[in-house]
Amino acid sequence: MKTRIQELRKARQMTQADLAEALAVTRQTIISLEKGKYNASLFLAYDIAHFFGLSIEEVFIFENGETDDKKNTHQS
Amino acid sequence: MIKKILIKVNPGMSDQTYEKVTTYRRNAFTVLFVVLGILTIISNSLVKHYFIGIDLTFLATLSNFFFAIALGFKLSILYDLSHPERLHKHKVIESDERTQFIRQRADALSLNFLLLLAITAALYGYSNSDQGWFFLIIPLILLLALRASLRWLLNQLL
Repeated sequence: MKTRIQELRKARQMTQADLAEALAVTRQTIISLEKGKYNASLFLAYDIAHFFGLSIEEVFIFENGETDDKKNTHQS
Repeated sequence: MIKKILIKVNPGMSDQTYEKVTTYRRNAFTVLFVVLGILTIISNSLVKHYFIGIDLTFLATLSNFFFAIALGFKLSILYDLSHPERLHKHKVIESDERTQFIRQRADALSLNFLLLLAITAALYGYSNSDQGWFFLIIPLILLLALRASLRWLLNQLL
């Protein structure tokens, strides 16, 4: 899953620490989210989207491969 | 009481509530370790009086270990209460969902190691009549103490 967190954060001239403080999470979580190493829960995704004033789909972008994999897993 | 100790720190919890929760939790652990230390001293003196006639170094050391942990908990409460920014940082770390996920994995891994060591200790203890197997318990205690390091390591790796 790709995210636009880094792009949106930089557009607001915020540091990772600022965003982490605003969302009450650790800075390492922000780093992992930006790098795509960690997928946020629905609650955190909602919080992030709400913070940027956007919808979840506008911040988190599902890649086709991921959804196909999940469909295949459900089918098998 | 158990509910108060095991209460989950959710995101959005205020600093004041977290302060109350963590103080209660650490006070409970302080009492627990003081009681454990006293029980260890009593068991050591009973063994000395009725069975062997000498102090068991392991039990004497264990009681000091328990008292040191209790003292550590009490000092940490006093330190955190005088440093609210540190308490806030702890709250954020504890309520962070990624940290919670990592902790769960670290705990699961520790449990596997503990089980493996406990099985090895038991097998060795049964197959040898000497008292050497007793010292295999030390790695179990060390592993518990190293759990925080394991969490840190996973935090860096994941």
